[in-house]
Amino acid sequence: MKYLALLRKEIRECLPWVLLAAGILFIFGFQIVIQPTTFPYYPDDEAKEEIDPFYLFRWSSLSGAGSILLFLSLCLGAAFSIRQFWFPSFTRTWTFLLHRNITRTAVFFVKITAAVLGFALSLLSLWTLLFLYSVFAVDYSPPPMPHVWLEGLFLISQGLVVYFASSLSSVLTAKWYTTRLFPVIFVFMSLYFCFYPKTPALNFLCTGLSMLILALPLWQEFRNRQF
Amino acid sequence: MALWVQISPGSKEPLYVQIASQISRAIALGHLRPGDKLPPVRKLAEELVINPNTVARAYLELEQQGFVASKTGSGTFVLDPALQDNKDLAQLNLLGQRIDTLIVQGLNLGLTPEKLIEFFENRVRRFLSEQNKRSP
Amino acid sequence: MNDFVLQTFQLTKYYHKTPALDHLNLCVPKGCVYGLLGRNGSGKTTAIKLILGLLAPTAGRAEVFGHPSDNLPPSLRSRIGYITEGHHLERWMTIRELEHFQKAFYPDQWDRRFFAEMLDYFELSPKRKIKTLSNGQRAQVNLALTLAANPELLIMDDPMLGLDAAVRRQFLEGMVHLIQKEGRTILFSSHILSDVERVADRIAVIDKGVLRADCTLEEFRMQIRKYLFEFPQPNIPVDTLPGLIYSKRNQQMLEATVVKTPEEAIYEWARRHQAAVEPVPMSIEDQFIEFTGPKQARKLFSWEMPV
Repeated sequence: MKYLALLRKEIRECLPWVLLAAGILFIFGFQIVIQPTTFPYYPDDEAKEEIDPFYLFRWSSLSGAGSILLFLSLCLGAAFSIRQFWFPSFTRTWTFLLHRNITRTAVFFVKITAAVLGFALSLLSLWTLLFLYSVFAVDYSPPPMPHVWLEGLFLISQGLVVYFASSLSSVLTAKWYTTRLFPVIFVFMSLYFCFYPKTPALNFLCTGLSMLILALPLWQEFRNRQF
Repeated sequence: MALWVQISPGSKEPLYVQIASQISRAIALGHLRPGDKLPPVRKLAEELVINPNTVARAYLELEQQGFVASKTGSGTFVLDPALQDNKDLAQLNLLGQRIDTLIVQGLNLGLTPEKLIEFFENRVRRFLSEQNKRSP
Repeated sequence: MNDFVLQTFQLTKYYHKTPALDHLNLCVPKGCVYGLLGRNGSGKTTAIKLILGLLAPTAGRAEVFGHPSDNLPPSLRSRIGYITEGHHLERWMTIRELEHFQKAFYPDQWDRRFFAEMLDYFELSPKRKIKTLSNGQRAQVNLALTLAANPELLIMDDPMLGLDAAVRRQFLEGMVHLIQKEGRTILFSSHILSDVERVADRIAVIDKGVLRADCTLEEFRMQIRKYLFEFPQPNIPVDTLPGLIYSKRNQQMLEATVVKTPEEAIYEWARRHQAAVEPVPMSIEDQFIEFTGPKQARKLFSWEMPV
């Protein structure tokens, strides 16, 4: 009961951002998908066409929506963490939230769950819709391969990395120019390393590792943080 | 019940003293008759918005002065002042001290000793007449 | 078994190198209304947060219901009502949403009728959003939320701060209402001494992080006394007065506040210096100010006293 109440509160707090992100992706995503794509011609790349797994993704009309998806997921990650971890410090509601018959670990996991659900509700569901739409309804472009959907999932997961980094930065109490800045720097490094490998499995592995590196100290800090 | 207690927290007298002196005044004036029951501690505490222990402390004070007696389970009752047998030296001393401060005040106002005695007599009479008005 | 609901042992907190609380030993017995007094920045909020385990102590420890504060189990937290300084609640929620949220955490304890009655009494519609409420109304909602959960131990951090007299009175009524129930304990800090005088059984005075007094309210009222002395000669040996905490002098007159000095000792001292002496009644506010203030009378805006 109490977990549900808490989850409802957290989701409700993130809801405006969820709706905003979903709205933007809906408007721009569909506009891009319904536009006919011209076959991209890269004279230098011609030899590699067969081995680049992202080639087909680029080829379909869904490819244009990818950059918007990445942009939105990074923004959404920052927005969630600001709402969930920065805001209570400004409104001084931490004590109201934490002095209850619930452990801090539970509060932490409910917040994470709310954020993941937020991503799933807005970006992932719409991405799936866009994917299905371009597979079944768009006739003038080649339909995207199944792994293109995974590509979208990967882009969305980058938002979660930002979310963890920003949250960690908020619960750390040290000075700005020392450890508090570390998560932010880490995110840029992580983005580079996550996109670097050319196999989706490695991309996801890097992302998962980044999340773990950020989430574990976040959990630790949150449990021991003084409010 | 003709008892109306008013307190002023933050003043120089402790709250329990304020309550006790008002109740003893009510007894002296005849507003509370022998055998009357004082309001229950909890009720008076809620009415005055103070800690119940303060009310209990005031009742204890009155009991020690011999004005009231508490019967376990049924409450605190006013005793007959005429039957009071413990007008001991300490209490009379205290009374004397209070009268002394009044004498100082009176003399500083420029009253002659004779005037002062007359004034005191008049006040006692007035008090008694007020008491008689109340009690049929 | 001890009957203390709350105890601290040498509880100490440093912020960087500044001591906020210095070896605090506090025992709050069951059924007691305990007033925590101290000037601004004296360490009251720090003490309360340490007791609730929201801050980690630099040294020492605290126990609530016999459990160490740094690891209060959630089930125990539900028995403690906590009202924070400033009454910060989730601003976007309506009162009703807040009620449902709060109720979910106290499924067995929640008194729905009491909450509704309090809202009614405060003339607050449950549809109002917290952010539209005034300071006092938010305090009222907070009080209702906390009392409706029926806490065994109520801890309030300066709940009356910045409230008008009417809302302050409602807080006092709430406290008196709660304390009438069997075995309830209240620990609260406040600046408003007349309110403290109304409801407190015991008080603790914290000054610059140090516990200066821990006694019943009555003892505090009795033990700090003021006397007016008149000496035959102008140089007055003030420092020899036993238990002196505050003095003010003017030629042959001396106004002195002493603590824990028997009346006989005062009269004896006065006799030795051929002084006339007269007790001066004090309000709790005077007592507090002179107890925590500097030893010599020094006014912010000082002027020469008329001779």
